Amino acid sequence: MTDVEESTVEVHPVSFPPEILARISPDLSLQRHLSLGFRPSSRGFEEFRDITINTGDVTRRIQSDDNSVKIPPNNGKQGLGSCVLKQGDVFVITQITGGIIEDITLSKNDMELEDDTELLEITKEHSDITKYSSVYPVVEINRGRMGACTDEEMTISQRLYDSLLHSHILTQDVLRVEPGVRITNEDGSVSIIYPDTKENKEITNALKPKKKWSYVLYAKIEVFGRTGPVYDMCWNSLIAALQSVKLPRTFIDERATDLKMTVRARGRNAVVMETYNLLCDPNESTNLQLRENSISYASTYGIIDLDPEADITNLENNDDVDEPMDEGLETKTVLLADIDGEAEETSIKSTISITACPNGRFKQFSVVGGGAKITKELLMRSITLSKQRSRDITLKVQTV
Amino acid sequence: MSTLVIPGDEISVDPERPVVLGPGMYNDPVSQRIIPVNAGLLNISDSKKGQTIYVDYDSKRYTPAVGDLVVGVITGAFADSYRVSLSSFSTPVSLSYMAFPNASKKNRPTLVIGDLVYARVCTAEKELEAEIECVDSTNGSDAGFGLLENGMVIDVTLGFARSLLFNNEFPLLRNLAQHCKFEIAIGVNGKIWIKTDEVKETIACYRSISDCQGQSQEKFQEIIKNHFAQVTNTVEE
Amino acid sequence: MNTRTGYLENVDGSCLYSLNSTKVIAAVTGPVEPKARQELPTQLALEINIRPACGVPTTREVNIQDKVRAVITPTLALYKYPRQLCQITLQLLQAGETESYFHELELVACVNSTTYALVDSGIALKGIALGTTIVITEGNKLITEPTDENLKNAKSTHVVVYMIENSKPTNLLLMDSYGDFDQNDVFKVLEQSEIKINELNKNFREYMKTKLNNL
Repeated sequence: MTDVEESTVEVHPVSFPPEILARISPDLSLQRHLSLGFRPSSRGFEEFRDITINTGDVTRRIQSDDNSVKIPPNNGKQGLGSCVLKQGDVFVITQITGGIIEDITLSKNDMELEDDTELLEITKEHSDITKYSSVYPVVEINRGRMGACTDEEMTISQRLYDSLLHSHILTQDVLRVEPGVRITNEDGSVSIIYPDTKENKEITNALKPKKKWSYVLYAKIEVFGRTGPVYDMCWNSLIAALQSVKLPRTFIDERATDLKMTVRARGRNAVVMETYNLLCDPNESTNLQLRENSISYASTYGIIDLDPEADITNLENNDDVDEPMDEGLETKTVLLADIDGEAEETSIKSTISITACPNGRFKQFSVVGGGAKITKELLMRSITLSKQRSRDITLKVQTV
Repeated sequence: MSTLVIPGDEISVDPERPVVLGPGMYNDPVSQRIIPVNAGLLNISDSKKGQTIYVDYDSKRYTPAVGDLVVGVITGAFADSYRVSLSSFSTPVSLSYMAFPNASKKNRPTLVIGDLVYARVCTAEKELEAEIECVDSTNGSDAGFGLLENGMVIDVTLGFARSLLFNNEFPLLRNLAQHCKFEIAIGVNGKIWIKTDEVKETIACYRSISDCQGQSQEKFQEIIKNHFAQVTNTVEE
Repeated sequence: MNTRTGYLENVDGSCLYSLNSTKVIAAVTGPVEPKARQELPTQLALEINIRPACGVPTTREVNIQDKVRAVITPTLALYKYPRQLCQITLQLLQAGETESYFHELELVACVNSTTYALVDSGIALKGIALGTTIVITEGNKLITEPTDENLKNAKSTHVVVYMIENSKPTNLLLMDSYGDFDQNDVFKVLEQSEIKINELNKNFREYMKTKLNNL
């Protein structure tokens, strides 16, 4: 535009500051960064974001006189466990709530219990999926607008549910309600007897209702400041929160245990119905028993081909633009750990998401190809990293 | 030479000589690989000018290509052009008021919404709206294009329409002509317009053409005979 | 496995697909004019709808949709159809598995039937996507194309989809595994599924050949 000579026009290459290039061409911006050996977030290729985990902070508990933490009276529906997870700039807040439902289906497992056989050993390996349970997660990604849930939220919720169910972390047995009985003693004082000791068990068994109940757990997962894919954070936060869950003990009032009512329904014969008022104990709670060796943590990886034409070092060496640049340049494929940022999310089409136990077993493994080719070596590398990451997060959760 | 190809198959092309890619072939902009993108019979013809490759496959959805003869329905009229639908739910194409014989600013065509036209595709770029014309733009004559009055339209697959239009050996029209007199316009967009003197003959033709689709050529005679017998009988009863 | 393309009259491509007791109809329409919010300036937009065998679609179907989209998108020559839309509707007729626990068999049925329907529709494809389900039993045995009972008693379940170019599985498009397994299992499953997918590809070519010969 400036130097216009006779019949020759000098064309100036258009250049943009990095932050503008990142907006208008995230793909090129990412390639330029990668060619220099680091990522737009200035992390290394296999570097994870720092993660901080706090559990139990959001749960509403009251501090009683003797300084022990107690769950307040909560009608069975209030925070039972929680977790605040911060990874990079993203916050994930998980609240576990629960309810009690009546078990209408008497499964085969229950029949075994009826025969007074001991509870199935919780750590015992069982593959039959019908013996396991999950929590019902609702993921909400806050973006500062209202409206119906997005496909991403639905997909993550469903994946969390499936992964939790198939990771065998929760058995149906640990969610079964073993109600105690509130009895009025001869001196008029009221006490609650739980079936913990053999002696107590006999008492409660004598007054045992015919109905069965079990806990249902819900997880409300809120994501604030989403900067990239969030499945791994939601999973880690959910698992950490589950480890802090305390289930309130429940009891039935002695007077209500054999309450019978005669009901006449549609002119038929009298139907006997039992109604129980299941109450939650304000003071007593038990820890939710998870299967320890099934506790796993998730991490995400991206795979991308390096574009030799976007290589800055090549650009500088090659001042003569007319010279073909693709000679002798090989496309290199790299693995990026913990995808974050708009450029990485939109440009990277091949991703690996691994949910691994610290001992090296996997609970969920998902590979989505479509961009760069996923080779065995890259898979191996991501597997190694995921195990390391899982051990790191385990330490963080344990120190809380 | 024709062999079965499946999308993504390797095609041996001489890279030194010019290559013309026809329907069903694709040159990937990034990898510069030439691959078939449809399943069908591969045709490679080699001439002095270069190689021509295309895949012969049957489908139902029409994508405009320059030079194609099409039957379209007018769906809208604007200040200087009509909007024409070549197949349902596809992006409509435009038909300029100037693309008619003897057209001028004063002399506007008199087509109305719902009219059928026989036309030729004159521009078809995938990024732009395709255009059709009702005039032979080389000499300005009507060349058989224009409004199709009365008659009936039959929807067929694109492969069947091409056989009818281009394959002189295809016996269907000759067989049909033995039974009645008809006017026909075949669009490679899978629409066939047919008009006869009597409604019952039109119906017989409609049914015959629909039913001959996907049948072997030996059966055509019999199918047509049955349909014509049926309509004549119905009237007599 | 049983497939029949061109099963539906009024769509551009369709396929009735059944494997053991899983049954699905795939319908493809396109390229057609998109709604304004779906339109992409340079490439083909994809709309996938999955309708379950009973009841209304839930998050479970959205999850399957998401995976089918991830698998099908890389097989399409998207830039050949700017500002166009391809609509894929999958109606499950029979799930063939306990829906509250699994989605594996339905996912594979959806992917494979969509591939057949897309080829039938004549939409430009860069390759074809074919997949299979594999379970690892308590006794570390691999079972391909499992039944509902196999799934229930499996230690881990895996879905693997490969992109097939030039008659060879070239690119891993999807691996979706749940349960309890280690890295050796992952590679064993990939190896086994490659063999199975090669077989599926052979069936696919055979099917296309007979279809063309009948014309």
